[in-house]
Amino acid sequence: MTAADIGVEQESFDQWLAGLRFWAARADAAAYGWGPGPIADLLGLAVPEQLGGSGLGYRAACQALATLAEETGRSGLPFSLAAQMWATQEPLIAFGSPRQREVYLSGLITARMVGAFAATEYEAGSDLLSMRTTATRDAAGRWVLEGSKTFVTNGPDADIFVILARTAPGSALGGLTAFCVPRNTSGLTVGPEIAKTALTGARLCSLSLNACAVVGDAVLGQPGGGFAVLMHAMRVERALILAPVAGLMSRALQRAVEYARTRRQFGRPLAEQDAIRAHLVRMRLSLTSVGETLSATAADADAGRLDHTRSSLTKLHVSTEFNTFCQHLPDIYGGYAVLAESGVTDLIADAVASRFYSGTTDMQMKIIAEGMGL
Amino acid sequence: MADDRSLTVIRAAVAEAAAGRAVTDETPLIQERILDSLSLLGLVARLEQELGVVVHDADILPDNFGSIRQIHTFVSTRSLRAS
Repeated sequence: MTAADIGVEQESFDQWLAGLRFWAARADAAAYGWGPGPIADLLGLAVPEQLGGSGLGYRAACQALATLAEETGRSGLPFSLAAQMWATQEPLIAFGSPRQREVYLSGLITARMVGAFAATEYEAGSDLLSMRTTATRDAAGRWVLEGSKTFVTNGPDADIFVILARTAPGSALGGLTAFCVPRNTSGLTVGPEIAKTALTGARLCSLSLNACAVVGDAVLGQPGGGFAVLMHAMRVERALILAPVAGLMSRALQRAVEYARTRRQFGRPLAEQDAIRAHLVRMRLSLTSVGETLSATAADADAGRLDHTRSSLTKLHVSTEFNTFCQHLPDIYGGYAVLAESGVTDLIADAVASRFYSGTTDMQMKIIAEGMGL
Repeated sequence: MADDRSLTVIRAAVAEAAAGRAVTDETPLIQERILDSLSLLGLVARLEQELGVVVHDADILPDNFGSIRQIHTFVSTRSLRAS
């Protein structure tokens, strides 16, 4: 049996996690992607058993995402997986019809399909009232989508899109509906991959919707219930999208410690110099805080008590600490920090991006303030 | 049935979101844009904290949050289920 053959159901989670670590550390670039084996196992960790997952929960899933990121040192795939798990699978679990779960959710958690969530538009990010994509009923009773979406994570590879569209004027509450739209739907055009400088490997694109007609059972949840779908996706995504960051930070700290032990300046290792030691200790502090926060938040989700305030607090705290952590790296590495092989500028780019996706830092502040009754 | 305290809490929470605009128990909160996506999250948090009701994401629908009266009916249903 190879590591990739180890199934969650056959082995304890710790053993499975060791298998994932083994696989991730050795998988070559060609093998490192979506597919059956450990990646499919990972996608099903937070999915209830009755829906085809292993039901081990959010905490297990976050550990697995962090382990994958730690072993590979790559943020793209763990981020892509997390985006699918929290923004596509979760809405299907919570709102999907039996057919939608059977066709789409089972495809996603066996890695036979890739899923993407499309809410953002050029002029509507956190500002839902500005959403311009519409869906109207035609004479045949089909929903016809018109508009465009952007910043669609996994879009270039996705087989199924969950798309939010406006179905009534006025407030987002009651005015939005979510639709499951397969990639091959007439009128749906998947744009080219958008070039970016962070989260390499997580592929982004835009979508065009021109007379894109879907039948009534494409509605996810109920007509006018898109806001509930969005809130559910965002509550879980904001809480757990940064789970891979704990692994990335752990790897970066291990490498920085090793560098400080071996690099000598002024006749002694960097690790013996107080300024460098202080940087490394601060990094350890950030890592510890991030790990404990993510773990506690995932435990809250497992217990069914994850609220929007906790989700936004977690997103805000982890992204802030990730950036603080990265600020120490140039002082440790000096000029080596800008060499591609150090990976430092890649990590810094990922940290900067973490302040924006799934809602900006400012948006998290607003949500937290509302939760505080301010 | 939710008690008078529920109605008091709901009225106070909506009044804050209304920021000085006159609101009756029947005012359409969504059409009048008194509740937006952010203030709705604040209202949900307040209902959960002060009234002890659990509001699931699937409950965030116009029929449940369209007016103070509808919110009160929703909270009453939730209270009945919980008891």
